[in-house]
Amino acid sequence: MINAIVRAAVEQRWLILALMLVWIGIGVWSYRALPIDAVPDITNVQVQINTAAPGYSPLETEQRVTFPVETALSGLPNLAYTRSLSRYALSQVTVVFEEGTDLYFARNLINERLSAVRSQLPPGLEPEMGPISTGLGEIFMYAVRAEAGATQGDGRPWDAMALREVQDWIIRPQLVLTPGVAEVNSIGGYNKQYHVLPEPQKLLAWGLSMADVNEALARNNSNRGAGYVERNGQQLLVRSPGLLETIEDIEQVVVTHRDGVPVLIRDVAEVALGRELRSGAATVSGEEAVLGTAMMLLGENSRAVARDVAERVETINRSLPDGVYMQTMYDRTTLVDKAISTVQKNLLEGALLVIVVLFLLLGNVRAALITAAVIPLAMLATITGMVRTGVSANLMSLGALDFGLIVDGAVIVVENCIRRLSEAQAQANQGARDRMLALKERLHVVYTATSEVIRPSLFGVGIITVVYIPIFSLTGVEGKMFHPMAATVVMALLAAMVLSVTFVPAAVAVFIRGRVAEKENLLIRGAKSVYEPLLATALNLRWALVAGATVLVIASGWLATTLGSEFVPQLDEGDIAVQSLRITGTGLGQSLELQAQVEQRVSEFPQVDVAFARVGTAEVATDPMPPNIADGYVMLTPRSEWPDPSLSKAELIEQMEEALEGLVGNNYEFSQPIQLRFNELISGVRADLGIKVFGDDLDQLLAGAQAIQRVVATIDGAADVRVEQVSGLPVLSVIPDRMALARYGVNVQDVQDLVATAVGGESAGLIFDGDRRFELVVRLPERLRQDVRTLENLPLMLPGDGQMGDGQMGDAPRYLPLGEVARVELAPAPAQISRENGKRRVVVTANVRGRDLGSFVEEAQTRINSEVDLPAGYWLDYGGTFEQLQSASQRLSIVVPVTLALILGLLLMAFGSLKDALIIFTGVPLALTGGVAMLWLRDMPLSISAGVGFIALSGVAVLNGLVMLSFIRELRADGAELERAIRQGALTRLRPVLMTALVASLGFVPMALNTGTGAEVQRPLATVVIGGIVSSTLLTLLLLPALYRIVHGRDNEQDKRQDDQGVPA
Amino acid sequence: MTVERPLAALMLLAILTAYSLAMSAHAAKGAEQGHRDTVQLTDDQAKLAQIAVATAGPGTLRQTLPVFGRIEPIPSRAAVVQARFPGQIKALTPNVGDAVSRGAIIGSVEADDSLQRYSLRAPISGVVVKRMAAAGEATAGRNLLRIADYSEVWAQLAIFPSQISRVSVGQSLIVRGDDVRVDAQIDWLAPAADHGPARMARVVLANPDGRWAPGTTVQADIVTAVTDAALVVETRAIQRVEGRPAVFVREGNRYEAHTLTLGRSDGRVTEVLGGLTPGAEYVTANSYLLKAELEKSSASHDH
Repeated sequence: MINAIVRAAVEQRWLILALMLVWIGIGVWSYRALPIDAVPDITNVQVQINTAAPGYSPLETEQRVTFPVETALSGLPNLAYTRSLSRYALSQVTVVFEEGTDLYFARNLINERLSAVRSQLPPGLEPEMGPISTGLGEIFMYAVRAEAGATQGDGRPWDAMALREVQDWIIRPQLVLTPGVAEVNSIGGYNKQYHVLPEPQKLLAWGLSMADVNEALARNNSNRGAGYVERNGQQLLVRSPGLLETIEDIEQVVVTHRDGVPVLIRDVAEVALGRELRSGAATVSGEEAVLGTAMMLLGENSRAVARDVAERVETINRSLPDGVYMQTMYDRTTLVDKAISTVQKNLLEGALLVIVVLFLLLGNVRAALITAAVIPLAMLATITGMVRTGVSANLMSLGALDFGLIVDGAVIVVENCIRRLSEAQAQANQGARDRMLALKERLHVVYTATSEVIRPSLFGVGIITVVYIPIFSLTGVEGKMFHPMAATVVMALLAAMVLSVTFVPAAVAVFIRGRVAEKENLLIRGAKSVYEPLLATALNLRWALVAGATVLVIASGWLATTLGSEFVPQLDEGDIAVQSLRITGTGLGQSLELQAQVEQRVSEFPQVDVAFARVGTAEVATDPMPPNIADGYVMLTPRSEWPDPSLSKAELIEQMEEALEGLVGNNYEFSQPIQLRFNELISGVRADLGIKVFGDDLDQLLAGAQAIQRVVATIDGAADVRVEQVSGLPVLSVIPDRMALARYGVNVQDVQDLVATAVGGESAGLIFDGDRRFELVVRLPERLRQDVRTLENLPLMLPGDGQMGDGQMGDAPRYLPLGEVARVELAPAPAQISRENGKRRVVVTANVRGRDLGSFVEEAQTRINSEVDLPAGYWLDYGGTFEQLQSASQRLSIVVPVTLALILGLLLMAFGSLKDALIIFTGVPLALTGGVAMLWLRDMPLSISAGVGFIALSGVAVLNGLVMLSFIRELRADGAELERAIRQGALTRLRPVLMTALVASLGFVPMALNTGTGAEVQRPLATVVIGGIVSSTLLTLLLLPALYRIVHGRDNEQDKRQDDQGVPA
Repeated sequence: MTVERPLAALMLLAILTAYSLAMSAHAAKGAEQGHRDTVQLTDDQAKLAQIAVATAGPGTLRQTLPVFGRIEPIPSRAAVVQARFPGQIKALTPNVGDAVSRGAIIGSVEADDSLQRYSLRAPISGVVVKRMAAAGEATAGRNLLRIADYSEVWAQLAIFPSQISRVSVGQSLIVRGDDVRVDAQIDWLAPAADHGPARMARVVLANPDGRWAPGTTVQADIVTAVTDAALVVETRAIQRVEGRPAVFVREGNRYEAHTLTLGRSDGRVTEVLGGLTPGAEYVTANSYLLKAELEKSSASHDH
């Protein structure tokens, strides 16, 4: 069939070339739709459901909000699991779906369930789904700042509250319209509120309660439409405006009448602009600030969206009040551009190197160009495939593309065509002087030359493709990182495979005409002259050679174990993220003070451009942090501006860590912006073993977890056994005393209302200013709120007409101090309640040192089963990295042998001889030796990236062997004597072997040497391939013939013996 | 030849294992500090953290109780003017708000029986607070004027059952009105809770300039106890360490958490019954930072 295709390609060569134009067209068109990003998106399919529950403590949040929401979600199709978090004022339920679920479909399902559950939630609480974005979504961050000395219209300086107003009402509405932006999230400053702060003493004097004030405000703040009247044929709309607009308006509201005198708000309370009780804040360079984050819609092109956002920011800047400006803090474009330029540079330089090598070795410009043309064509096809399959262009997906590898198939075809054509030309010349090959002859030669090598070359490329299969068996995060890589390489190889049977022969047929003399150029001649004696020696010393190679393989196997290892080389994003952690219960104000110190310290580094941080939770709780945690971002200046540009980032981080260590009360975790975000989103147990205790009662859960902790800690090999931090949030409880309440005829709700209004404040409506709307809140003056002891003495109005007596002696007071009917207690309470799959859980985590994980887990399970007694209704679940390790190793233990069998099968198909297939197979360990040696030389650790390199290498090694062996076999089939066939075959095949090896390794050279952004991901891969190809080529050229000689030498002897004895009857 | 199979498998496994080891190394870093209750700070660190220290020693506790009350006129300082003999009021000069002095003539009445006029005199010095009659009217046994003397008033403070045990006659207190405050003492405590649940505590206040208007609400802070304690610390210095109150004692650059047994407190200072020796230098301002430093190994971000 292949031959038929080749024949058709040669005959319909113009059609094929025309089709290539279509191919190019589709590719270019696809390129415009290709999403480009720095790294692959490793977020799972998840939907966050956030419910803001102002004033609700963790326990209440869980009971009233989280539980109903979670329950409503059970039984969704494709649901993987749910987990939830109940914190102060926030319930977050994260719903994770099976991989591959359409996010919009999932959100639709959730929406349906949420609308049903709304009626079960306390009034006023609205569950909302998080923005349609992923871990890569935070593409642009900016700060809203005021120039020094700038003032607002009324002469006041711009404070955090005023800047927040600008952010909420001028910037956000404009920015959120940018195409591709899913959400603009604000943090920092204060939402402006109008505060009515009643003085308890004054309320008491008038016999008023806070509720009276609230009610009065609510009743005096509305517009009302009243239909229309027709007058003289004209329709008049009727309305009655009555909205409060200014502080004066609010002060004039009548609360009640006493003896005909109106009691106004201003008689009992102070009215002022106030600050919300916020759950998050932001700092820039150690000062309070307002930060905005533009989040990208799922599946958009981050580079394009970030660029659009940046443009929009420019426009918005012009519409801001004088003295206020937006300062870009983080722009994803920078990183993406850097990463893409790294990839581009690598690919371009690689392609150039490949072309140069082709030209030098083929000695024919046209042939070199035809081969090189496969590069862009394959690339365009890959891009089309990427767009079709939704793979984005990024460091990982483009990181393993080696044009040398891609053109290998084409190289073999072109090389053989050139050789055959020149031979044919030479024959033709012998017959008649200067006779040009006729078109028909030429076509025939091209056809035969192509089909001669097409099988080995297709098999070779096929094998390279097959070796990528184990990568597809990786799941989870590893899968998400490396699937795109494998997918693009496979797509590129398949495209090249198609091209080498269609385009290449067609192009050769069209373009290689005229006199084709095979100019064996200097290089090849030199190589041959060196190779020939070497080969002879190798064949003579074949046993020694095999023994040496075996020793080499074993030695490099040992060397591999001494290499360090890392999972995935971390992409250097160019910036640093410093998460500062403080103890649970630390207030936002204290946290901000500490964060300011951190930022000042960090800003002292000359390498730091600007440092900023988000403390606590932003408006849209995409990352629900408590106030004791701050996500700090440290933007670095370009390396060239550093005092010492050669300082590595790891060293810089070390220096920073040292400098920050001096600050009291902080713990730090260093990472990078995107990395940090991914960690937050993926989350889950990141220790080796996580034992989850499920059940109802928190204390019981904790007790169980602690019992497990004690048991696990005694197991051999256990390290860092920890119980998840759930408690420790100091809570001031106002506990109503039911007996006392009964005595005075007061309801529990009266007490709670008082406490809630006094401390938290109660909304009494909205104040409108055009589009802007601000909450009107009644609460205690700040100086009283701050004092815990005031709470006990807060007057609680007794039921009745609310009137004090007329001042005569003997009137009973119509109030009670709160302390009379309630106790105020300070006690630690759960800081957060975590749930998984609808049940409360506490996790015990442990790591394992110096022992294999499987036996440790087994022992832990038996020990816990026998030693820890959990009450009925409590159960355990084991999870953690050990699960992934187990499943990954199980999968790999099946997939790797299957893959190897597949390769062997392919080789068998190609040769029909197990012996030969196995001989070629030896190229693989030999190739690995070079890779390991190269890693060791460059002091690089083993990583999955390097692993992918080894995988690619195995393919190339097999390809080399194939090319060499198939020719030797052909010669032998033609009746050549063994030794001669080996020599001649090896020598003839020197050029293609050298070429495929050289292009494949040189194509990776720029990648191996690059130090640009993102190069760290590709460097190990390229290093391994280069080292491996060098070793495998050398050894293929020498060892393969030697092995072949050994294996087939025996056949020969047998044959001879059989010949000698004659054919038995 | 078949070296390849285990090698590739081994390699991938090695990578995965190494990853998990790397992760555990990371996790270990957080836990290594363990449970010690001492924090070491250099001078620079202490300065940056704005840590202030004080010396623990004897002190006075002023425990106070805030209560609400009303300004009431003193009954003995109020008088009602009536006509001795029924008749027709010929004159009644003072208006509401006018001050009168004792014995001053404030009007006259023509007696019905004798048709004699007689003068009405102010029974006490004070201010006319109510005028119930006018010239030309018959006295008809009515009250004509009410005169009250507000040069002294009572502050009647409501003491609720849970507070009563702390309040006694003679305790000093600060009475606060809208914009006045004055030191005074409790003069009388109602023996029975005959005013609803509360018992009244009475404070006599001088009111020469009328700043205490009867009927207004006042707040008072009663000093319920002034005790000398052998050892006190500032309340802001106290932090809860492992669930128990503690202060940080400085010894050179070491700050050690001392768990305390606490006695009474007045909000500002707290009596220490055990756990601290007099003369110890303890951290007052920003003691929270030391607690934060001490427990920071537990600070983590679990999702």
